[in-house]
Amino acid sequence: MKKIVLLLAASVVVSIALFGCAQPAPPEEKTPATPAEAEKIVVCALFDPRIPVLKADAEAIKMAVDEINAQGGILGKQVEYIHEDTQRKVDVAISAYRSAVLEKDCKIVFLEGVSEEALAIIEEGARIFPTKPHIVISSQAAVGTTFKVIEDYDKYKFYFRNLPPDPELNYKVPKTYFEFAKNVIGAKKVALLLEDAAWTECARKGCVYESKFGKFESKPMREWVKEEYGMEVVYEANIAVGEKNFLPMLEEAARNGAEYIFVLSSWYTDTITLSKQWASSGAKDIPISYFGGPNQWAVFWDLTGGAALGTFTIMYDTEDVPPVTTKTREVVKKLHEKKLSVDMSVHYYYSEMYRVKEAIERVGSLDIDAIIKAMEEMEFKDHTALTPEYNYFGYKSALFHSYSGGPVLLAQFQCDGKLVYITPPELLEEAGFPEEAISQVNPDAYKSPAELREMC
Amino acid sequence: MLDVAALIFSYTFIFGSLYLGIALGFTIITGVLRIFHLGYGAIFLIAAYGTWMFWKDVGFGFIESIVLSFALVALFSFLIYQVVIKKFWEMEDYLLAALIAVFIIIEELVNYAYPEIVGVYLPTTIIEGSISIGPASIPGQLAATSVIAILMVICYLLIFTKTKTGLIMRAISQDIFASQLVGVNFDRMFIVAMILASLPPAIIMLLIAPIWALNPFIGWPLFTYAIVVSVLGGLGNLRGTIMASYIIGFIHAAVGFSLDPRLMLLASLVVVVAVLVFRPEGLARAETIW
Repeated sequence: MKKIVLLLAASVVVSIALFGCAQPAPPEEKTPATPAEAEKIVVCALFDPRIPVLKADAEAIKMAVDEINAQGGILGKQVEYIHEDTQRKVDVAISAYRSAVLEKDCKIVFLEGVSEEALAIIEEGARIFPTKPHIVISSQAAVGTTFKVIEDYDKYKFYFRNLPPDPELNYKVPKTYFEFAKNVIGAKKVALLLEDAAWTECARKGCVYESKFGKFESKPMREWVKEEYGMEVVYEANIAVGEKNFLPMLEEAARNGAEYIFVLSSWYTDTITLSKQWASSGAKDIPISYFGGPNQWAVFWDLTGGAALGTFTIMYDTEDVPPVTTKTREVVKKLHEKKLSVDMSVHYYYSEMYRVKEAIERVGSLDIDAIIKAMEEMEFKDHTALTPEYNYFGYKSALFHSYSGGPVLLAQFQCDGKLVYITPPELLEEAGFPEEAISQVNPDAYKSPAELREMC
Repeated sequence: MLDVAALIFSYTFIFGSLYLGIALGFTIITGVLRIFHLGYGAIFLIAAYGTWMFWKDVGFGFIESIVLSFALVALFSFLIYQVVIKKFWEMEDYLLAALIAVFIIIEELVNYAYPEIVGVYLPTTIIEGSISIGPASIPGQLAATSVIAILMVICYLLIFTKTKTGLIMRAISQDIFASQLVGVNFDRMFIVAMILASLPPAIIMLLIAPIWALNPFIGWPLFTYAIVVSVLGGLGNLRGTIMASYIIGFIHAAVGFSLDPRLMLLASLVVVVAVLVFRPEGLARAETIW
């Protein structure tokens, strides 16, 4: 007990020993593949199943694979789904990735959306791609991977991002929120709470990138919110990953007269705790909205014990979600039956499996170079959450091999956790959402947190 | 300016009392048993998820479930002592490894049985909404938690200073070998201390459930607070833990309201390290728990 340092070091060693032991087993000696096995198309999903959202991502891919196999596979070949655990650690992810491509002959690798893992895997992939051609798809946001593909295409062309990169993700998507805050809430003063992570760098500090496709510039959020929406940013704070104490931020937002709080969150911001503290703080009458995180689940209501009343968020997790395609609701229903919740990324991974199928079928073989080209050029219409313009991969811009950002479905938690879709319909119209989806959103159904507390 | 001062003052009390409640049990264990209980974080999980299990899965009433979860926490502490601590008492490195392994096992079991998506929530709100103190606004539940944390400390101080059991514990804390020589059954006292020490974290966990997320990984951040406070205070010294709790509370409130909330934890860690450089034994290291 006297040697604290020794003790803490021992605990770290034990932790490392406990987690480190879970490295993938050494490759087993393989027997030659039978003709039936050789006909398989192997798809690998590298996700940490301990984290509910990542488990749901992996299950969504598996569900798509099962559906595809039930329909006869791809080019008459069955698709084999293999899951590898990353433990959300870069070294384990690299090991799982090598095992997937080199030993299990994966042609398509889906990787969880963790930028640190993606940045390491894109380098490892560049080494093994020439001898083992394959494709990697990941929903991470830090823009660095995109510029690698743009600057050294032949080396990194195997990498796709089923998400917009930072400048786009944190500009075009939040615009839906600020349109709403300005025109529906009538807010003139805003507080920004921004997750302090690699994927939000452009939103926090602004950024400029030079590339083959020209110069890309993104202003910090505080600047464009003022310039484009005339809203004064009266308070701004960065949220540390894992932060549990949001009260100083909330009280300061209230003290500075904020009329709306925008939280740029991901799964690393504890929006459950944030909601609970907001609901019992001096900021409880200020409308608050979230970006990514468990707030994208309908069960967020239960997780917060109802403290989410009045908050609003991106939402694609209800069985009556305004449908982008005929499959949108079906996917949600099927995953709910498996006791899984459906955030945006789940739709993205599910849909990408179908894009891969379509690309392979267009090419007519497993020629990876040709499939990459097809994925860049094709207009994919079966995405369950995005219209074709927003999931196109072949942009000759900083969005190359990435989605682009645009309007999203926002919903507010009202009485008893009922989710009401409130995105302004004109935004969805501009983005090419189908009429059926547009008819199901109604910004006038929004109610202030104070009103809801009184009503419910 | 007055607004900020009021906020800092109010939240120093709130945060300080909360950290005191979180660290109280850890201090008792380090003070009496003189071990670094790396499995302490598991108690938070057992209290929260035990209550949920008895309430939702077994079907008991909510209050009965809380009582049963406290019994489960006590049983866990008893078993930890009998199976792990007693066995590895003389082998510090094995003891630490075993304790942290138990913590991780509990965490994994909870994550397996009740992943976040289950939506575990405990309606333990005592005071809803917020309380205004001058220009400052404080969540009512945190104010209630703070008061209860202070009451718990007073109760434990009374136990340590006014009861025979408490006096024996202090004697063990001061010199275990001398205590043995005068016939103290330290084995039984250790079990009592372990069980007594398991109650404050269990109570605090239930009290903060309405304002903190409940997930299978909640044990780590709470355990971290307990370590930071106890190390700064001087391991195993209740006076030091009280001082350290309010110092950390003040740092968090001052940095959070007047500088940048992003720097709260960093600032407190810098202060802890700085203090340890000049006082490696912590603020109030003493030979006994009180």
